[in-house]
Amino acid sequence: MTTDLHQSTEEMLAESLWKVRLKLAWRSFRKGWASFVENRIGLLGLGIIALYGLMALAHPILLDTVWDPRVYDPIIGYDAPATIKTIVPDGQVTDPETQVSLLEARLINPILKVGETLEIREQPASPSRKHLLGTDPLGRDVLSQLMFSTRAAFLLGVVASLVTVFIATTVGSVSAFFGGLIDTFFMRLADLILLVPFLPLLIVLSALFQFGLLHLALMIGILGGFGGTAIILKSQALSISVKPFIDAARIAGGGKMHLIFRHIIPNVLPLSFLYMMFSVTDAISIEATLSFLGLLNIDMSWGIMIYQASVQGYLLSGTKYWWLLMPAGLSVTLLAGSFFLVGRAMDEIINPRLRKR
Amino acid sequence: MLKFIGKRTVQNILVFIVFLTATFFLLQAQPGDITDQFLSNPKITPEVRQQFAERLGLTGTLWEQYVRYMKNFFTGNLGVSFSEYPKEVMDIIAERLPRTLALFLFATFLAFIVGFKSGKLLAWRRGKRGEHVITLTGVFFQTVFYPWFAVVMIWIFAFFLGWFPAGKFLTVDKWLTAERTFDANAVFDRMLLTVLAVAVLIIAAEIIGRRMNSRVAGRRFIWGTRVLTLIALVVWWEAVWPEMIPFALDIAYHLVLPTVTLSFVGFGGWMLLTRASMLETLREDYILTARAKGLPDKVVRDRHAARNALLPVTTSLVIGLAFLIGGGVVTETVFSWPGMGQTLLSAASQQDIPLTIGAFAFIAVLALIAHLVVDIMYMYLDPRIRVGG
Amino acid sequence: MTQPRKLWTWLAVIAVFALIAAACGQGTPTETTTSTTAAQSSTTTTEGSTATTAPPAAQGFTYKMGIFNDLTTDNYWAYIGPESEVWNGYVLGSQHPALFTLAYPNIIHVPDLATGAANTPEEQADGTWTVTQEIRKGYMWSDGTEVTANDLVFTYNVVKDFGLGGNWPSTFNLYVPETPDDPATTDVDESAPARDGVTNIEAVDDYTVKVTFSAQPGISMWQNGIGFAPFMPEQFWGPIVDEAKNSDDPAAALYAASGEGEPSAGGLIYAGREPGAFAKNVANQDAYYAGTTYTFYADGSFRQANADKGFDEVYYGDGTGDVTLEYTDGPYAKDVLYSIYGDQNAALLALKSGEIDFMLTPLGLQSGLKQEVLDSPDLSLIANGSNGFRYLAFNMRKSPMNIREFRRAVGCMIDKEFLQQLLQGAIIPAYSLVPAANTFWANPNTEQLCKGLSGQERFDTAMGMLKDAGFTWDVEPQYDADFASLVPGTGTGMKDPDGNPVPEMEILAPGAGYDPLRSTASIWIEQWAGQLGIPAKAVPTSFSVIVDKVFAEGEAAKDWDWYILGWGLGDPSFPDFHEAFFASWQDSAEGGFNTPGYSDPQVDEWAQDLLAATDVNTARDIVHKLDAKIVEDAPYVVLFQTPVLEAYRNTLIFPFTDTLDGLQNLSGLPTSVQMQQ
Repeated sequence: MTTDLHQSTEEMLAESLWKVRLKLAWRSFRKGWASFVENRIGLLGLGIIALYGLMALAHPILLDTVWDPRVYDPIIGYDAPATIKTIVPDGQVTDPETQVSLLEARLINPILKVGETLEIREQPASPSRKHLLGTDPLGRDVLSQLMFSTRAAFLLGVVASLVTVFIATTVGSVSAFFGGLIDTFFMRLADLILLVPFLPLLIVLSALFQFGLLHLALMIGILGGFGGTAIILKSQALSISVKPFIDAARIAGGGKMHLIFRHIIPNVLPLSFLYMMFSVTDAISIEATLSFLGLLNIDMSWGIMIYQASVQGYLLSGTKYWWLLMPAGLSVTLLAGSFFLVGRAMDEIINPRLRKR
Repeated sequence: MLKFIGKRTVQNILVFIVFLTATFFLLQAQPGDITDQFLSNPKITPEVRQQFAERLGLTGTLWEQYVRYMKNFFTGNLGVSFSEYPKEVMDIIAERLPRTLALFLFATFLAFIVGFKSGKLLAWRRGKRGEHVITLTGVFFQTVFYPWFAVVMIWIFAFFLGWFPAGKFLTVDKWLTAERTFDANAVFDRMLLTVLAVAVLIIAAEIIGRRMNSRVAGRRFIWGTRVLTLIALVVWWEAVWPEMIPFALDIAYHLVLPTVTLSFVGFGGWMLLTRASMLETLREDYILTARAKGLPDKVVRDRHAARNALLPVTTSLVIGLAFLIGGGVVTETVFSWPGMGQTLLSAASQQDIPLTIGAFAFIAVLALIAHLVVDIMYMYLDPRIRVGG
Repeated sequence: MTQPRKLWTWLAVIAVFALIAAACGQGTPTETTTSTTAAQSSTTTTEGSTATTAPPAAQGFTYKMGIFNDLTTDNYWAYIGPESEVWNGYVLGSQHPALFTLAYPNIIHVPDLATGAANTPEEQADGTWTVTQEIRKGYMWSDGTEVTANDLVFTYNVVKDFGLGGNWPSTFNLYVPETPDDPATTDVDESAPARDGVTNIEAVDDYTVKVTFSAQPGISMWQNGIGFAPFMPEQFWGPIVDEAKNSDDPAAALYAASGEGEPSAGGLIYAGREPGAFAKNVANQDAYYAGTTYTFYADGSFRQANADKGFDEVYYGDGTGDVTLEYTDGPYAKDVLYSIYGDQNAALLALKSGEIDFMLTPLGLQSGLKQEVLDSPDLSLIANGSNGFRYLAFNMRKSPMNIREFRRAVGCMIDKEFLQQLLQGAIIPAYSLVPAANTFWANPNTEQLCKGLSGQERFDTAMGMLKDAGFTWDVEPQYDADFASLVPGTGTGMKDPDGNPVPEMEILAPGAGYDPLRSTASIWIEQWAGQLGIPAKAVPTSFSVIVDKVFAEGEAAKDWDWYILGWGLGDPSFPDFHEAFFASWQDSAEGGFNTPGYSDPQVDEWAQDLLAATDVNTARDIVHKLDAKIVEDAPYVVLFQTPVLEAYRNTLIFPFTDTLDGLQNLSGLPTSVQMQQ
């Protein structure tokens, strides 16, 4: 593929270099896209990602227009269908629609007496036209929380994967190009990071330090970038650095930095982009897992949604309160899975050996 | 070959020292320490807190603490737990390690065997109907939000169907009423020993059987050994530890659900990897030759392709193992399995520094040993290393 | 090729079946060896009861409770020491006698080992104060030896000589001599004044304890101090202590010893555990108070009577009025099982299926499980007030938090009743420091700032307070009913009375993960403060970091603005926490517990008086005054308390269920619970 690109450069010598690159990139993208479209599983992934992307974009717009923030704000919104019920002695509830037993009433307000009325609010409330996915135990709209958290998931995934890929590409290319001590250092470091179980390490870290979403994204990015991805990208860079055009560029007087940044890295980038997809997958599930374990200090995310349902005792309520667990759990799975699917589809394109048999 | 193992071991130990150092300084860099726990208790005076810090070895410069710690670590003295003062960290780990090992070993074997076999079939069926479904299933298991998945598993099998127990590793009534002279860990230890012995025997039989001249004799040998091992297992338990059998079965019953759940984490990844690896192998010329020779599909698949496809899969075991260890922490938390992962989580959140390092270090040791085993397996599978080493 | 394989497969299957069959064969005989001893005397125990209307109770049952963490120790020294976790307390808490105890549910201070009410300390010629107290004869350890005064002396000596930490120093109120500064070690002045306390405990004879104090002891030092100190059995611990003395770290060596086999003088004897799975106590039918009938009268008097042991005692009155509660103690259960569950979901399932009878939950049942319990015909639900409160604290070392009206304005805006509705019963609004449920001590007249006002009224009142204090705004905030609950408020450029801009402030509160209640409160407080134009921002912060920050000493004590945490309040029979939290000498900048840095000479004086108070009524007047004054000054805004919800199987018969902090606070009443047949 790379040699292919270089043959065509000669035809366009007249144009400036970035224009050539852009055109080449566009051409290979179109080619890749054509084969990507053939891969139905990859398309499915892309479709799901697009759907969630739309949800993330739509949320602030909805809050600005049709959704009253006092009701639909994912963190401080509140809405609970209320019914006024009369308090009757325990065991004498004849009409549960209008009556409530003293015991239950006292659980809400211990100074109440028989005969008084009480406003009973349904929290969590099951799905209704107003709240398509119901409300959580604090009377907040689950759909709104879900959409709000999508933004956080994307942000986290993109930041983490950009950091990963930036570090891994640089480290991989530099190690491959220079070899020797630098190579040994980075590769041993990668081995070390690879050997240490990732999740336990993050548990230790997040229990010790204040972890926000951005810190976590950076941490995942750094660990991933210096870890396994660096090794893979290095071997790719290594295979490029022995190609004839690198020698040609060197003879033509290209400096080391020039060689790395103009020739090696651009050719490693397709693979980097592929691994970006996988890092997004990792980042999303790690955030959700840490939130689930109660280790992150953030207001809202898919993991926090599940965690809150869990600490308030709804974890094993099964189908009864399905909207507290299913939407968030499925979202983590679907979005993480979609990036993985897209990554796999891209893998088949970038690794032509797998494309057709 | 021994040289290779030796070299790897030394490398791993060096890595471990670096890791330990990094961990220690990381833990020291965190805000606050154990004595702050008593800050919110109005009955404990600052003097008492100071006394406590001295007793726990939190005094002196960082360097002194570090040297003291490293020295202790390699003399088997992991220090004293803060949250379970004055219990030795080593004792706490010794108490919980068998439970984690049992979970981890069973889940790894299950995930690897099922993942490899199904990946093999999947590659063979490439392009056929159902492939998409199976691939999506594999991707689902690899990327599913694991804690949620575990909760769903508990809900289905423990609550809804009620097939398996949840939230304990033994049936209290059974253990309470019996007059026994041993504790649960004694049973765990023996179960682990048994599993290891069985695994070694079966693998050895596999190796010997494959090298036999006659394929039929080889098969008979392998299957014979498997069954004899099982019978030996029964006889041994009946003869030596008869009083423990009901208790071992009780524990095994409680192990089923967490093990199966955990093995799903590794299963998806290994299945997909085997498939990819098989696809690469199937393009090789020798497969074409084997087919051209007219060998049956099953033989080509199992003896030619799969064996070679196993190589890259074995390397990726490393990544799968990391997944499993991480998943183990979550599994233990969700299933209330009082092992190393749960210990790590609670120690870290209570800022019990020695226990955190201890638990984390042991999880890392577990990972290192697992990697070493994989290395050796790889060496066995890859003739280039076997011959050259 | 396939045939031998099939054959072998079948053989393997048969082998596995053989294994299982063998196991089942093994299993049956072990399960039948259940019923053992210890059930005989429970029939005699019910004799004394007169007003029992309870259905026939099962004899010699196993009382099974769920707990949520493994014990970290089985050693009582370690439990009172560094291992003060509640789970240890549930199992180990009822084995050791003390001079006095508290009679629940009314929380009355009554004799345990002492033969009668507490004697009055007397001043000696050398300025010290002494008190002697006789203890009962025939009060036996479960190994057959008698509890004597020497056991307390032994305990005191170990605590003193070993320098035991944790709760030991406060239990024994040890006298701390003046520590002169040693200039050789540091250049900081480390001298500290002497702290009054117990200087000696001796046994006049086997049945008489003599305690010497360095100054006149108040209730908190004598009746509720030494009076509650446990007697440890010397015959069991003596040899262990002697051995520990010779080690490098005697205290650690003592803590590390196992408490298994320790004799008990209470209703339960510790009987071992299976790590990670369960712990067990067996009933002590020979306990001194086994079979005692307790009677509570409407006039406040209290009777404890036991014909077998030959005592019939009445305290706090003559015991003639209306009986409010009477019950006869067991133990009825032959043993008590503490089964460990990972979470409440699993435990609730076990509760439903009858695997356990009761759950010991220190913070109560999770709200999501409430409905589940209400819907289950086999389970009962009880709710009790908790002995503690959640609060918002201000750092009074900084402007504008040092201005009283500012703090009160914020306090006025906080609509606790709204929060109660929002959190649907998960909280109970609180206004006084002493929980209202602690009726004897709570001050009914403590101010209830802005209670019952509407949003508009709160806003107007708070604005009035701020304006009176001299606060100004560039743009004065207006009350906007439509956006009453949403930041940003309309006010900008708030300035304090000196004309300095009010800085951005942080409200530290545990994140939604750690505690959704406090997290929700912090978010709403941010909104309400914002309506006044106060730039305060809720920052979710992990618990340990908040504690770290707000208890920081020296200059670092100024590093925080507002925070939200909670206190559990310890001994409800003598709430002396006002001193710890608000006396000026307790300033957290100097290592104390007064985090706001509150300082008021009147409060200081009352706090001194409280510690020195020698009778309960005086003490109560002081507590009332302290409570009212501090709430009005608002270094803390008391926010709410959480009800303790508990679930149990209907087969259990508890003598009472209304009690502060719930039945978990009494470890599930293991010696007085009965079970229906």
